[in-house]
Amino acid sequence: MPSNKAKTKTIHVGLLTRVEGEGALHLTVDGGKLVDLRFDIFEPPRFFEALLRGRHASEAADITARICGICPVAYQMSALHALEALFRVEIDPAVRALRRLYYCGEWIESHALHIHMLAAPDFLGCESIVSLAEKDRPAVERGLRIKKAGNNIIKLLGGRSVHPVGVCIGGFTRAPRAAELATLRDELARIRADALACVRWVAGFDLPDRHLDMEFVSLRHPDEYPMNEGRVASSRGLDCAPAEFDDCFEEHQVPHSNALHAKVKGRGPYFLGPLARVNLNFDRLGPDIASVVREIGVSFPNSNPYTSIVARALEILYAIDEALRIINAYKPPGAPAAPFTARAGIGRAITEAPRGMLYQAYETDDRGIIRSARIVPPTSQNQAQMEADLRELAPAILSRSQAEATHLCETAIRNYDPCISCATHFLKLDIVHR
Amino acid sequence: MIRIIGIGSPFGDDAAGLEAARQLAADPPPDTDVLVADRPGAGLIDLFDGAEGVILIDAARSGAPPGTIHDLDLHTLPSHPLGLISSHDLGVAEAVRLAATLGQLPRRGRVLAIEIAAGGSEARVDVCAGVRVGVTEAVSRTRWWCAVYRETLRLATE
Repeated sequence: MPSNKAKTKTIHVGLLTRVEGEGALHLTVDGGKLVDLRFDIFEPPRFFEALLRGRHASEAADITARICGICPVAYQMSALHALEALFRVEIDPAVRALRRLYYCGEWIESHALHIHMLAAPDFLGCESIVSLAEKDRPAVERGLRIKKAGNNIIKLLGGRSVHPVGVCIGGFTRAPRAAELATLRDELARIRADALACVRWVAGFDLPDRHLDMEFVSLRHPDEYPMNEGRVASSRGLDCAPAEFDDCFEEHQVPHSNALHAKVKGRGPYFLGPLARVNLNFDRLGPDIASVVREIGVSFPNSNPYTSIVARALEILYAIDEALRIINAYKPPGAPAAPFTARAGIGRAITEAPRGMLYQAYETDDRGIIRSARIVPPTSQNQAQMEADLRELAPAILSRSQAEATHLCETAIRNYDPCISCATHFLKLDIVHR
Repeated sequence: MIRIIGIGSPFGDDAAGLEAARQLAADPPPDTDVLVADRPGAGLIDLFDGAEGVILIDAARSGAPPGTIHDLDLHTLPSHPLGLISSHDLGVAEAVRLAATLGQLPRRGRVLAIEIAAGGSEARVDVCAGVRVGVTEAVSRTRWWCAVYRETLRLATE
């Protein structure tokens, strides 16, 4: 309870709605000054890193696909790239293209879900997607069409759209025929107009004009918009290989969360996700997207976290164009997967999950048995930045009602599209008896 | 066409709806198709496409004894009935409400929610004995509702 009712305001959002997983926010402001802020993640720990220990490397993609129902492809891709780096597997260029297509599917479905079901209601005064559908049915129908097209890509390449199973070390368990990929082409060509309408729609939202001093971090690739490959770059000059993740970043536990916090070594929190990717890779989006950006009047790079929804919509458009490009150029690989020979060592990789960089590292023995696994999801890395964001927001919510303040805090958190259930880690607890 | 959709995840008691659908698929009632859906989220709406009647079978937790069947009308489903279990995306109740708002809900439908044990049973592969009783009951009720819907549809076309 507040000690001084006139000056102290405590906001406790017991269960955050419209985020993936279970988290809560506790924030206390005293005399205009923030005295306590805790973004609690109480989604229970899920022990995936421990589950992987003792299993064969070839099982990692199927196990990590179970981490998240929204972004399983990201978990599979980071796991496979880490293990393929360790086993020195040569990937057929056609397989590489198929994996990029697979990732396009995930970006499309995950971003469409977030924009329409989770974030848009915030900016349109709606309680949920159901009330949004009552207000703007065509927009919701459009969102569902986009999401379905993304799911269909994952379903074709992964065997099913939830927790897919079609990938393996070296490639896929089965490569699609060109005719099968062509079945996706018509649907993607059709929803491109939907995606463009979606960009215009979100750019027209009355987004708060609030700029933060943040370090944006994402992969950057010499030739393409980053998905599966690239070096780590940041808006403050960071440049390292994925394998050097631990040289650049550090994770630490906080008592109030089951997810680890992360920061750039020697600096502080950092921001991952679509806004970071667009900010750092705008020149890789190509002239068509640049032309759309000019039209909508939102400029990049920018430091307003609320423009994340615009970045997300632009990435849907980009992913549709990229998927069509890959499908049109597709020639089936000679073999669906390259062979591999297990070896002892450590492999590390980063890929760009819909919510930002996802780092994984595996240590195996010479039979390919996993001795240790490490998974650093984007939400875990974003958590410290989310708290910094809320700390900055806190003074502005003092004069608001509890409901308004809660809404403002939730909206700020949703900019990061947190996937809390992906981000939980076991919390080591030391109890000192005196 | 009447569509039966078993919903759940593959392990433990949350697989109750999937197990009921598998049993029905082995010996389907006339004029039905049977689907299983692993936490379909908003994708549930697509599964309604073309169905005149639908029967959803899912796990639920309300505090009732495991195996209890909650037999609910699809069109009057409360927003969070009985804690129908869904981890991400839209839950079943939200997806049904959204389908109704978008005019994509079949005219006739039931939700058969099978009560599962509190505390979770993820470590087990199959459903526990108490919940299996509920699965059997859900299969039997599904057959009964299919017969009712078939008769209603027959009368409507005469």
